[in-house]
Amino acid sequence: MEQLIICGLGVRVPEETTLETLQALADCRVVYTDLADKKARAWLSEYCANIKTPASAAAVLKDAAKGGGVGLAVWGNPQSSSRLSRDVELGAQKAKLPFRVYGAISPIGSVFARSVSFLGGDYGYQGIQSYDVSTILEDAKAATTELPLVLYAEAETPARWKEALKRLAPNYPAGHKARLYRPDGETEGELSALKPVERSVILIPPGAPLETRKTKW
Amino acid sequence: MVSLRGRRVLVTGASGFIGSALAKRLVRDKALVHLLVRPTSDPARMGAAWGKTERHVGDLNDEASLVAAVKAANPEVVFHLAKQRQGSTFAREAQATMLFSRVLREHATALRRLVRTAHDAPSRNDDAALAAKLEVPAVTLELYLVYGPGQGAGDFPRNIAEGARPATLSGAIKDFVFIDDVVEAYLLASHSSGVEGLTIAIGTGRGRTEADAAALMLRLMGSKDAAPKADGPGAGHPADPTLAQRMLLWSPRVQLEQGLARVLGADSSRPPAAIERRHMIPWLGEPGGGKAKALAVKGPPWSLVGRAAANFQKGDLAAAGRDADAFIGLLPASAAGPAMKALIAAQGGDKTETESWLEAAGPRGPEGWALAVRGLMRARWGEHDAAYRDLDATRRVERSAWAAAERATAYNRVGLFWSALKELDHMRRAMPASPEPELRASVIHLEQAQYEEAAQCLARAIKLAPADPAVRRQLSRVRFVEGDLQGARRAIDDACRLAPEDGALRLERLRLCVLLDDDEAVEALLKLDWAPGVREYWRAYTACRRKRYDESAKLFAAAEAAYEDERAKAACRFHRLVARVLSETPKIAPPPPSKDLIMLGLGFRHPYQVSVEALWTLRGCEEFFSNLSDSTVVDMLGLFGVPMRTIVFRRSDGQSTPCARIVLRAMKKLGRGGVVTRGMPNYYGRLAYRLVMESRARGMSMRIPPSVSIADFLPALVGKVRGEALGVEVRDTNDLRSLDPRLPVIVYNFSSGERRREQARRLVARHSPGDPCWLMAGSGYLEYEPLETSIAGLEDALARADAAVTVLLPAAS
Repeated sequence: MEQLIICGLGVRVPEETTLETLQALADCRVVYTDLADKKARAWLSEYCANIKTPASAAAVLKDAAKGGGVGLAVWGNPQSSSRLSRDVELGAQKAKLPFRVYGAISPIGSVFARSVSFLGGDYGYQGIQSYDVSTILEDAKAATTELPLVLYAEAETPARWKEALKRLAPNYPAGHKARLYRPDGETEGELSALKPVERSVILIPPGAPLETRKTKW
Repeated sequence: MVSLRGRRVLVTGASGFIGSALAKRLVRDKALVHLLVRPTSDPARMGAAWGKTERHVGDLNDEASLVAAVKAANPEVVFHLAKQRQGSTFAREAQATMLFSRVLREHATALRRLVRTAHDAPSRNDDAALAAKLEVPAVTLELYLVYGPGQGAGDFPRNIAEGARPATLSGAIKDFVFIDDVVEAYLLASHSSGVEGLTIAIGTGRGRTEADAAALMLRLMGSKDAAPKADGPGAGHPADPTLAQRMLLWSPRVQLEQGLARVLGADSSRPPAAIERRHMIPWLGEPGGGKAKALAVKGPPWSLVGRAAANFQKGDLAAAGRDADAFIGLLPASAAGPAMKALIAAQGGDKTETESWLEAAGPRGPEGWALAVRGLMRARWGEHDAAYRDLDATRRVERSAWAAAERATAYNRVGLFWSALKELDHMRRAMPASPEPELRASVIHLEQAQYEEAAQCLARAIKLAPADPAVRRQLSRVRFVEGDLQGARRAIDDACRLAPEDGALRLERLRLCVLLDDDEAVEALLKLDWAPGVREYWRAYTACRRKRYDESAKLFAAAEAAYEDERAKAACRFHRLVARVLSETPKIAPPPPSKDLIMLGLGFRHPYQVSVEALWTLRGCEEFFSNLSDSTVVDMLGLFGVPMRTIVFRRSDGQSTPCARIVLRAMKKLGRGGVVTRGMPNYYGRLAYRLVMESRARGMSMRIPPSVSIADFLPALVGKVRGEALGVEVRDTNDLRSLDPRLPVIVYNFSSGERRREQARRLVARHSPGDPCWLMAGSGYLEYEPLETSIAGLEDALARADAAVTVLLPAAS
């Protein structure tokens, strides 16, 4: 067994947690998770004996170096949506610590699946993109408006969210509708009117409807 | 098949390629066929059928002649395929069509249906607008690239069969549809209800370039000529056959490969392909070793190979090696000796030595069996593309039954299943008393979801070998995948009667009895002697099906402790987890009161990546439809105690199946049904989209809980692609503009041939040549083994890769 298991729990816990992840974590000596939701933590503790909150990526790596199997369980997908798992993974690579990353439902997969009827059209034929809020704050033109955009953050202040949406809004037609997924439910509305909380995902349809666009090539 | 026997039909355009095929079919079906012809119409294409029709001379622009023809024919059905002969424009065609429809409306008193071909129009909407103006009950067929025997000289692909070798051909995506399928579509359109006013696309749904088709044809001809290159990436797209499937119940039956072979076979002017009659060395594995024995008495030096073969079969590798060495000494120029040595080395598990002998055999000429040996070895080592190339090269020089069987396997792996079946035909002729070819053919048919054909093969196999339990077992498998559990049970019962001591068969029987809830039979079977863990496992399984989850979880734990086999232990662990999750009170919203259809993905590494929500949702279904028939998934789905039915989304020859219709029809009787797929269902775009739209139209709830897609899984599997930025891009090859260099990108839906190479060149522009990238096969033996290559090697690697390959590029360095 690897000394370090890096897992994602999906965007909604426990619904989006996979059995593969659950099994891998259940076999660990200790599981570090940044889950804040008490119910979700309680649910996870039914499957994993020893759950801790990580102080830092370095603390997780230090414990993993002792051996015996250490698990890290983060929000979303560990490869694309968590800074903590990024730091732990890059740290493990640097320290040559044997580790394994498990695939998990990402914000992109989560909202894409739940929004097929919202988007309309056959997006399997075009593609989709996802960005962390901080990337959009650095460069509001990073994302193309020709594909659906999944914008997410595992931990952002409402003010930074608002700023990101404000910078994005001019790229889209006036009144462009988007859908917001918060831990307490989902709403639909104009981009600049959405109110994301710290851990949210927003799905923004393309600027022009799919059926009116011509495929290149 | 549709028939218009005894009906009065009028056909225009019967001297053309499609019209003549349709008219001949109508004559054959004993319809009362009237043709509207010009004085100059050439009857050659219709042959003898021409004399069995009534001809009316007329012109589409001459109202009087049209009226006379229509009055004389008094048709119930009109097939309008004629075009203006000279100076054809859409405006002229439209004017003539309007005139013809007016004549029909006024004079065809018995007319039930006009079936017409869409004209070439500046835009699709123009012809649709024309169709809407027709005042007779009309349906319009929009034809894609129709081909087949009877095409005009110089038309593609006939010109290739006749020796044309253009350096380039169009790179535009076309949809090749075989003439017989098109004729069938016309006949179906003549009587299907609810199609008036519709324009229905007739195509296979699979896009190919002319260059692809030419390459395939040259291969079928056994030609070594260079295939024409595509003249660059072109526009175009395949047909969407959904409407034809739904409204006409039409689907194409002839694949491109099969159709091209018919083009070749139908053309009597083509000289028969020269069969190279080289010295053929019989294969060692030939049943009975008869040919090896025959060689042994032929005298030196060949008798040495024969004796080596016989010893190899007996397992005396040392003696075989001595004879092979002696043969090489006497006939060093032959590939037979090194090939024999390669086989011996492979049998001993020494890959390096095997490869060196294969290399020694390789350059010594195209002796079929040396190539065949190399192909066999490469297949055993998992190098399937290379194996295919070797084995395909033996097609004309190594005709033993064994080689045919290996070629069939190789062809099937690369999707040439019709060629695979042809090889098995050869095997049948070579081994008329053996059930082996039938068994192999049944496997191929099963993979193509051709259950009836698979069962027919097995019925023949049973006649040949009535006491062979393997045949009954395969029949059970076919019935199981088909969803006929009772049929599967009957077949496995027969197999168990024939081989009562076979533990694997008995276990299969037990599994089927559990899935059929035949408690009496299960208890009787569990009283027999079983390995530790088996009883606990199946009791746990039954408890889970009966929703006694706590009991089930405990019994799975006991089974895990008792089993010795690690894979069995892992299955227990997984199923125990399923039972535990199912025992929880779902923390999700209750299902809506309306009819409820759920489309569920079990994750890319199915079924282990199934989500908690998916399990909770599946629990409430009354029936599942699944395109997954592997035993791990079936065993997991069996835990719910719900009937399962197998559906196939898209056969590996690219043809869609009407699975949405199957599901929606079944939903009429169900309150809550589940469609279970691998990965994430949204990536089966059209099916998900159709189900969403149809559900909405029928007032049915449709939900798609999220699941792990290839995009969620592939970066984790590779583990080397992440950069500092968070996020990932998932792109169809249709749109590769404005890729963000900070993010890893997953690209899917690659074309083939030169177009694929062009896509690769576009992709690599943002990277350094030495950067790594990964390819993941869409299915089959490499689906969990990403192939690492460099940016510099991506173009070639993509050219060799699986049709459904996905590419992962890291964040740019």
